[in-house]
Amino acid sequence: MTEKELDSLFRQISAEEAEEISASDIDFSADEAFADRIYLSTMEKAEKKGEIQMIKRIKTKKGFAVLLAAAVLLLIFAAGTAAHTYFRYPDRQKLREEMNNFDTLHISRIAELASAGPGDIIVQNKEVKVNGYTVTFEAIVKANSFREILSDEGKTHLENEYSEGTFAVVTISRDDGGQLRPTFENPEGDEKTLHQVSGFPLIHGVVPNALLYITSAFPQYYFEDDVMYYFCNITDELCFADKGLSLAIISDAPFEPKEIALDENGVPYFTESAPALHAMFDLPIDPSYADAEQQETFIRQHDFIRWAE
Amino acid sequence: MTQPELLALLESEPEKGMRELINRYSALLYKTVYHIVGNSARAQDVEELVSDVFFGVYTSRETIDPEKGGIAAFLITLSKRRAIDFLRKNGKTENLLLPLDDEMIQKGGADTLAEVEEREQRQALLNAVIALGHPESTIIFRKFFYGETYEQIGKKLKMSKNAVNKRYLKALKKLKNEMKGEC
Repeated sequence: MTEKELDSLFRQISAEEAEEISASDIDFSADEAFADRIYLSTMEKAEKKGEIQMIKRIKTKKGFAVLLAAAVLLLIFAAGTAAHTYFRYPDRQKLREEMNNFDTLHISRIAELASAGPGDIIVQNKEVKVNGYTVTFEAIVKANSFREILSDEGKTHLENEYSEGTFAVVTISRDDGGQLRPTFENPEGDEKTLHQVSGFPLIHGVVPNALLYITSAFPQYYFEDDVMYYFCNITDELCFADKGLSLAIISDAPFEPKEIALDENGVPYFTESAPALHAMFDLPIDPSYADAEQQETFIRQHDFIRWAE
Repeated sequence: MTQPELLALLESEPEKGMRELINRYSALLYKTVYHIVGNSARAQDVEELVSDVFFGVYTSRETIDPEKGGIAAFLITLSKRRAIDFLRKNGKTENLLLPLDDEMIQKGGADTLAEVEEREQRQALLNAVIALGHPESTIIFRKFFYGETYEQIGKKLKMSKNAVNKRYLKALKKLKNEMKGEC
């Protein structure tokens, strides 16, 4: 049965049939924000009918919560601007000079925004030239800053509205200035176009396993002006900052086990079997992000994970 | 919390009971209403209709008889009626593919063989989803039935979007294998 057939069958399921299985461990409950809206609306109706007097209590509670949240945000902002960040930024003039090779206006804003939002945008600007391609690790960006750096076209391409998480932003272009064709136009691939690109963080010391990095069903890349913009979600792996992290970009999905190996220190590298386009970058995440509890959760959720001996 | 316990809470602490009721059933009712009104209503209208249903339950909570089918069945029936009323009121009945009367609410008479087979296929699907176990069963259900994104499901289950995606793909493969014989 295909996914489409399953989808069609699910659409036929009535609410009564769905409700019949509510005693199972499936979580039917509503999204919290949605449930809050329905509750408030229902209780407002009840108050209007003279049933209850609780609406004032709700508004006060909600108003107080909003005020408190605003005060906390203000404090965090004040602390952030005064704090000494763990990533040292060059002065803006030097940064602009280093970023002169950016030919897309929106990405060039990374330099301006980097100094404005410590920790939200960390410029990398590391480049690898491989087999006629240039792969550039542009920056590490927090999702709430995406809309600052993306062009209007870029925003329309990202299917999901990312509201949280940390991403490594990578650009890929051809050295001969030729056109990159989206992979769906050329699913078989040839020497001049990309067959499939995937990017993923690798934890040092963990045997690379493609199951950990199955390509998301939602596109995490788009093409603009013959440049591919790739957004790799590294949120889950941040907690392994004390172990060391790398970012792998490869024109293959998923990768073959023989394509990536670990050196004697557990640092991953591409072998001779790697496809034409491949690039490995160090992910410079501050060790303060390390979290033993989150590591345990990650390992529990990915029970096939293996550490190199 | 069982349905009798929920009804008891509605009686003893109505606001808490409503909160529990809404948490549990509002998503299902939204889907029920939307299934009927479709694009004839804006999202806010659908939410308003769902809220009307819960308001109706709140004001008539003392008359709900747990012996006459569960409270969920009661809510679903109310939602359908409310949705049909909306379409009638707004003159959008041409969008409704089903009859505009109680036949839609409660079909009488024996099912045809095709209908029986279709129902069995749906039941097999639901059983296969339950067999996946949590959280895969929830991920699959919310993805297909509620049409939620990985990010929404992740927020609900307190998992990352990537983790949800990975679980989803594995569960989907299992489900496809299970349902092979049902095609």
